[in-house]
Amino acid sequence: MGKTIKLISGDGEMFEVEEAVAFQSNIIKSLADEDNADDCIPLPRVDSQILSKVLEFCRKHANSPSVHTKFAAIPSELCPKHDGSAAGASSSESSSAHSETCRACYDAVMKLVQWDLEFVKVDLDLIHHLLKAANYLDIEDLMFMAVEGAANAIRGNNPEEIRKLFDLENDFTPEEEKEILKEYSWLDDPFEP
Amino acid sequence: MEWDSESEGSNGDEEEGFLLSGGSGGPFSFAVEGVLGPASSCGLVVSDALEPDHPIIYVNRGFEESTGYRAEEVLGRNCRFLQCRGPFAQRRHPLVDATIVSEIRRCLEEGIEFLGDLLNFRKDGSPLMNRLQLTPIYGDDETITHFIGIQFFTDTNVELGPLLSSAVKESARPNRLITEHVFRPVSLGHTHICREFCSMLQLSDEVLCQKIFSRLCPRDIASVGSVCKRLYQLTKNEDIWKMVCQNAWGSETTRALETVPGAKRLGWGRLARELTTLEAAAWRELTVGGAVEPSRCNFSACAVGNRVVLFGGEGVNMQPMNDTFVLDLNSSNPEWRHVKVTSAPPGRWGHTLSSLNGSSLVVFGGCGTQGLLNDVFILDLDAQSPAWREISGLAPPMPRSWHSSCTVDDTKLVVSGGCADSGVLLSDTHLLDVTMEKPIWREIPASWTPPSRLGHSLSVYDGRKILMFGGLAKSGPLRLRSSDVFTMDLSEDEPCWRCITGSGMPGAGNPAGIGPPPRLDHVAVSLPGGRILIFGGSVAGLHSASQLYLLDPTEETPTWRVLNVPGSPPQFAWGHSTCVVGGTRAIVLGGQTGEEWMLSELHELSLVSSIINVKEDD
Repeated sequence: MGKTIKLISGDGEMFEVEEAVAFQSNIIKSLADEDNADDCIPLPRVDSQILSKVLEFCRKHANSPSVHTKFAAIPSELCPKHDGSAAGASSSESSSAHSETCRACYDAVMKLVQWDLEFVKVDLDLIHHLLKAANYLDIEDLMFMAVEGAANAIRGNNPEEIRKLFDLENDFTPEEEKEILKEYSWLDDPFEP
Repeated sequence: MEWDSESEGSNGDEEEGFLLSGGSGGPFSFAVEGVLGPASSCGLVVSDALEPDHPIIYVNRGFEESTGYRAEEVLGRNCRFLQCRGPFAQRRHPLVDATIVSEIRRCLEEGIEFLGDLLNFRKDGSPLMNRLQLTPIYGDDETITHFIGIQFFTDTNVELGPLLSSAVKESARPNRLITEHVFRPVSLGHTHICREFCSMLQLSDEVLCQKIFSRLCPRDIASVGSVCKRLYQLTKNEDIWKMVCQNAWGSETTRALETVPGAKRLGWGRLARELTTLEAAAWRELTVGGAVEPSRCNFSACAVGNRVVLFGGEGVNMQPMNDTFVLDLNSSNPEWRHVKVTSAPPGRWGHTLSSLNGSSLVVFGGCGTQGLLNDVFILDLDAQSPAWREISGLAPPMPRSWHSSCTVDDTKLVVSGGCADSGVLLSDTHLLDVTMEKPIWREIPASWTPPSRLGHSLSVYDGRKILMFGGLAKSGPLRLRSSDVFTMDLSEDEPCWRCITGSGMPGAGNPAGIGPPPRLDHVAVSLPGGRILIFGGSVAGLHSASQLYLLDPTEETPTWRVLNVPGSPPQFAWGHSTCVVGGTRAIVLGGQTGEEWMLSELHELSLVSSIINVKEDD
């Protein structure tokens, strides 16, 4: 392995990972940058079960561009088809123009997105922990995907199903419910053929 | 906490206050000791933000008593020594939460306030909990000159073990010092909020709202809002609805909508609703001032922001014109104004004028003094001195008039069909990226094309899909008005024309529902969400020009719907002299008499609630 970082979870387990993996977390990256940084970075708020899940995600993303926050912004340098001598490629043309024209990069991005979507197809409890961890450790892509996972859990469900999902009580009166139905009625087809 | 910039009462008493001079400005002083409470628990530290590593320039008695360090021992050092256990430790103690340290550093870098709890150590190595508040102090020229730290120290009985044990062993102990109430600054874009982190639904409301709900479509937001009172409130957030609109309609459309006066007042939630139901759509008449002279017909009109631009046309002696006029609908008294532009294109009529990226317009083709044209000119109306600029693309399409055009991706001009020399009808489709260094026209090859035609419309929907409607189409030896709908997806590797339903022959096989009677030179408005609105044009027989027809090509089975809209509709509406402003209203020129040189009476089809007398700066 290249240079590694040691992380210590809240319950005392040590994880040693490559820099590229750990530096997905902006927090870990800036801590490691400090002059008087420790050899081990303690992460008291993340327990080992979650940290290992987080690191699994980071491992997958370690050498890929940030696919979600800057979708299609693939630097030419990472493209196997380009040898970096893309003469005349201006910086503005590089990102989106590149991935538009480079099929290989576009496919790689799509594959990673698919993997991520599977990764967050987990129960809400785990998504909740991943959200907290992504926020705490400031991992942009994980936050993006955990949010997508939470949104996916909500999509297509009716209010009663959403209540069950989040263990919430219906605290509307029948009159209030009627009002709300009316308020959202515009989402039904307003044009009868 | 009061920063009293006027009192100078601290002059004589070093213990009670401190006098700072604010750079080039006058001195300012503050006295806080009285407010902080018993000196022994409260520290006050001032550091110099202009010196490297922010050295301490002042500490108060409370700091000295709480930490055991005397002022002369710490002046000139950075405050981080408190994170080391005792004066001989070289490194920050591992039980100090590194993320908090990092957050402090970030706040200092960004010049914003920090509030949080941090483990510190006295000079004798005993642990202290430091509730720290860091505040930047600005000098006269808005730069930060100092940072002030206010520390509430409390004893904490964390188990540290012997002073020199290894980092790993320390961290393996149960972490009793991070209690339920440790605050961790959470950054959400531009807001810094400290919240407790507990269960999912007690995640800070802002995180829940803005991140998760923003991914949902309107129907899902409605479901969420119907769950319980708390979620109902959360879904009322304007930022969420803006994201929802953006996801549903694309960022180009939402950007354009943002410039519409009154859109913010309406709110994104209501905008979403009104642009979906069209419940507030209405016709009204507008009178404007100024004049377009010499008078003309067969000009092209297009909108840039809230300005209607008119170019070219056919004068009374059939001479092609090349002047440019602007009507600013934002002004309290809109009037036509002739725009002095440098290097105007050759005069023409029967050309197309399309909006490109929200501030530029692109002209293509038409009939000039020397016959049909196939040149491209761009005008940036927002430039200092607007000038028409020719775009010389390689391999241009055949010169033509009464073709149709649209723009895709803010960068590409698409041109289709039209009438060539000797009256031949065309059916080809060409694309030009006008932003490239050396633009090259590309013909979109299609194994099958719809029958050739002129006077049809091309609309963009769903990102890079185009929809062709109507026109005067070739049908054997005849030319017939058409009401056919064809679509093409330009993002495919090999784009091809598709008939919405039914066969490709004019007059045969149309989308379900009551469709518009066949026509040419009609108006086609692209609505957010992919629907197309059709009205006006040259229609055989007695048909109302203002009857509106709606089609959603993204539906499983696209079906025409009829839309009845109140107000004062125009008698005539032509595609080339009608433009869409801000995605929310269609401005029809010359609709009263069908004679386009009457340009002071306009008709407006407003798709959302029109807010009377709204100006852009409201």
